[in-house]
Amino acid sequence: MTLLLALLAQILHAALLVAATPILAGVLRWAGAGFAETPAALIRREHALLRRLWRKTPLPTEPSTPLLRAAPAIAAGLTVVVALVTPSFSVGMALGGLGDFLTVAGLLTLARLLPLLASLDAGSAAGGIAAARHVSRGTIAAAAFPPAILALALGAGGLTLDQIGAARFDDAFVPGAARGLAAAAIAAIAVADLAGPRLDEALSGPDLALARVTEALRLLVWCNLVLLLAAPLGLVSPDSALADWPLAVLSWIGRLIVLTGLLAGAAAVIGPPPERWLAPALLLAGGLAVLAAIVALTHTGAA
Amino acid sequence: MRVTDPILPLLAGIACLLLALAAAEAWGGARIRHGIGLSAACLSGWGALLALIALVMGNAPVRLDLPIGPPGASLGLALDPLAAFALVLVFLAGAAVIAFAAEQPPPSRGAPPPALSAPIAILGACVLALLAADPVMLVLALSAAGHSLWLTGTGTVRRSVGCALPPAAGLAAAAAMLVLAPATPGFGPIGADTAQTALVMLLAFAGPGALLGLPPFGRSALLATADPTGRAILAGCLLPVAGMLLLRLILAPLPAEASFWWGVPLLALGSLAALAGAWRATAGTDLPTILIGLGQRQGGLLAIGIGLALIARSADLPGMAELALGAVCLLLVGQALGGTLVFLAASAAASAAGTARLDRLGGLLHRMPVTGAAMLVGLLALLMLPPGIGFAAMWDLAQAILAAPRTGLASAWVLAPLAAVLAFSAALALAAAIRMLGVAFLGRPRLPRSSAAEDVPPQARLILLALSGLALLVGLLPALVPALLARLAIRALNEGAERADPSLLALTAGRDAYAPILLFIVVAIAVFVAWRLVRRPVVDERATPAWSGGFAPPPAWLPYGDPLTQTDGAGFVPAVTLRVPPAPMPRVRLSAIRLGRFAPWLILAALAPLLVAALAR
Repeated sequence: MTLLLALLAQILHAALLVAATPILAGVLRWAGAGFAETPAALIRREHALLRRLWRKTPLPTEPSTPLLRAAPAIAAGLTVVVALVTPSFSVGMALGGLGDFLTVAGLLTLARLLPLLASLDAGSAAGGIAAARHVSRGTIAAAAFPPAILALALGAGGLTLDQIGAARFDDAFVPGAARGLAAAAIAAIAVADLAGPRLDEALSGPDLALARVTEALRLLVWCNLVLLLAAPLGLVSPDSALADWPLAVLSWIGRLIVLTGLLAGAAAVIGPPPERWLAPALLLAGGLAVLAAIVALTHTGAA
Repeated sequence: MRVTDPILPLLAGIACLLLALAAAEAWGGARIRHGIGLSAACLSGWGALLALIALVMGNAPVRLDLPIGPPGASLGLALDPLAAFALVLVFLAGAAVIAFAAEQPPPSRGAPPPALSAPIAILGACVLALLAADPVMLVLALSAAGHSLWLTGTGTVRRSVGCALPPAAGLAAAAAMLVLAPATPGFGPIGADTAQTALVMLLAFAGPGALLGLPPFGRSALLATADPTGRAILAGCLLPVAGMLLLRLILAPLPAEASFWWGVPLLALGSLAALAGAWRATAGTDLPTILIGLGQRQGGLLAIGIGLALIARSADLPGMAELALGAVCLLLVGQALGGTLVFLAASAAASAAGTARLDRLGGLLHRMPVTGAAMLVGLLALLMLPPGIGFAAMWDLAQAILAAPRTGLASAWVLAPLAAVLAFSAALALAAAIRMLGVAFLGRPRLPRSSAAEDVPPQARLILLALSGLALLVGLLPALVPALLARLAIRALNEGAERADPSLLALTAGRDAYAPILLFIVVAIAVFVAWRLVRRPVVDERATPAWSGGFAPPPAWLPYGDPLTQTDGAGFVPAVTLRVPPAPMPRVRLSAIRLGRFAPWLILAALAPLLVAALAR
């Protein structure tokens, strides 16, 4: 019975992702456009663009390796798996035990790496510059990620996202400060990851459509991760009563709306994060993550 | 008589045969080169099989006393699970390197093919070093490796002090063995004497630690030669030997009460080496420099794993020690398979394109798909990316760090920066790998020679593919290493503690398990669905030039486009003024001494008393 419920939770989670991905991306695009028109119009326009791209004949660039022509599909597959593994309203989903936090970080890196290599493969100036910027920024971000994961995992007693999400239930996660610091660090990493220059210059047709969908899904994955770490409120598990599930779904939607509102406000006021801010912000995130790890280690060692 | 009893003499015989084949190749020259190379590769394959049988049978350690030796003692060989595990790796890597080199064409028309005697002799010497049970045998084996390195050099490179690194490491390790057990020198336990412990640690850092690239004495052994085949054999064979010696000299003999305070410096030195190596790789401007940096980083990670195991032992946490040792074993496997693969692929690429400089290569993956794929898989084994061996090792290290707070409050101030250092070195290594792949193997060619580069011959392709397949298999089933291959070695180092509920599918049991094979299946399904969605049958799919960003079309005399419009690898890492010069080993002009010229005679002079003593018996 638990297995069936875990499967049901997984299916519901996937359906919520499918529904939330275009809305989240559309709202942020709307805010980035200074709240011109309506979010619904922007979502419709994006949908129309995707349909148009889907119908086009792909035009691969000339120096193109077969493996890297598959990069959009591989990146999409990896992002979908990370999205399915990251809990939204429920922990203990059917695929939940498949990926711990470190594996999720590795898969997210791999999903970014393949388009990056594909953009280098095009041999164009823009692709090279975009790849160099992503790498230089990702180097600092990747250094901040594991200490933050360590801080979170120490409090939860394990590396899996389920354990980290569920740790709040049994009040095992006393050093809330460490969790807050780690969540702040991961939020900064997410902003830096999503704000990079576009890597899809060399793509066309269905490949470009898939890359755009993948990017929107990646945004939702980061939001889910930040929500899970900063505010894991109202999460259920397959063992919970079914009557609690709607409340958990509503809680997730509410938290996502709040986070989207914050992001939309930032996008409207600041616009795309200025390039000169990103390196200091990531260094600050690294410092926060190490501090979080020290707090968590000191607390766990004393306990 | 036990099944494993004849294995030790057979392995020793293989090592001697390898040395004899090396001498024969040096004497016979190019005529017998190919046959000697294939024979040595076959012998190595048999050696790997024998070592594997010894591992599977799992009997007690075996010792063989030879009828020669210094007065009052005899040379000894021993086979225990630790040696058997390392032998499997060394033989596999050695077989691949020698067979690959034997199949490689000459670098240019009319030029003689590179000699195979040195790599074969280094392999034989590494096998003897792993089997050595006494200091004299260890020094002899590593001196033979040093002399073989001398043979790989030509001209001024031959005069580099690099060839002295292995004998120096052997001398330091032998001195440590003498300090450990003055009466019957060997790998005995350390007593309660602090001065004795400090001396052994110092010698271990100065000996095998230096080969791994640990500061302050360290210059990675990979800098000891400029010969591509020599570097590949050093990466696949000598570095695992150095790691194994470090395990024997530090982890095995150290008492639990002294472990914590010797674990911390090891963590610090390992962190420095990992960072310095990763930075060297990121700043490197040619393929060998980048790969040497990655090798030094791997050495640093090995030291970190051993340091964590020491800290775990001090707190009586066998579970944490086992995780750290599992990571060490995975790092050794990653180095033997991945390190060998990347050096072989780099040597093939440099040979085909005529240069190893990043800013002169480009687009090699289109011309050399097998070599490029081997480079990709080799890097996957060294980096922290799933489903590579490097990621599995890092996962085990992370689990060990998670268990570390139970060792006490002091560890908090050590482990949080350690996590950051591990992450930063992994990120730098990844940046270096992306830069190397992106500039050298992807994009447009920069020189006509790159555009006409040819992939390695079919037999050499098979070797690269087999090694890549093995590296991928271990990456997908990393539990094979701690639960099967290195189980007895870990148990011997961890005083009998054994992994609870060992599984071949996942590292550790329970909810925390890392099961890359299951993850791979799920990802493969998701990728297949995405691929089917995008790839519909297309009647007329044509390729177009990439958008040039508004640059004018290149003139006719630039058939591969304007090189200035393609990245040359600059700007991939943040601009930091700190620079680790990617210089090779400093050349010490030994014009007055020319020790290298006398190396064979010195070795013979060292052997002569042993022969006399043997005859006198």
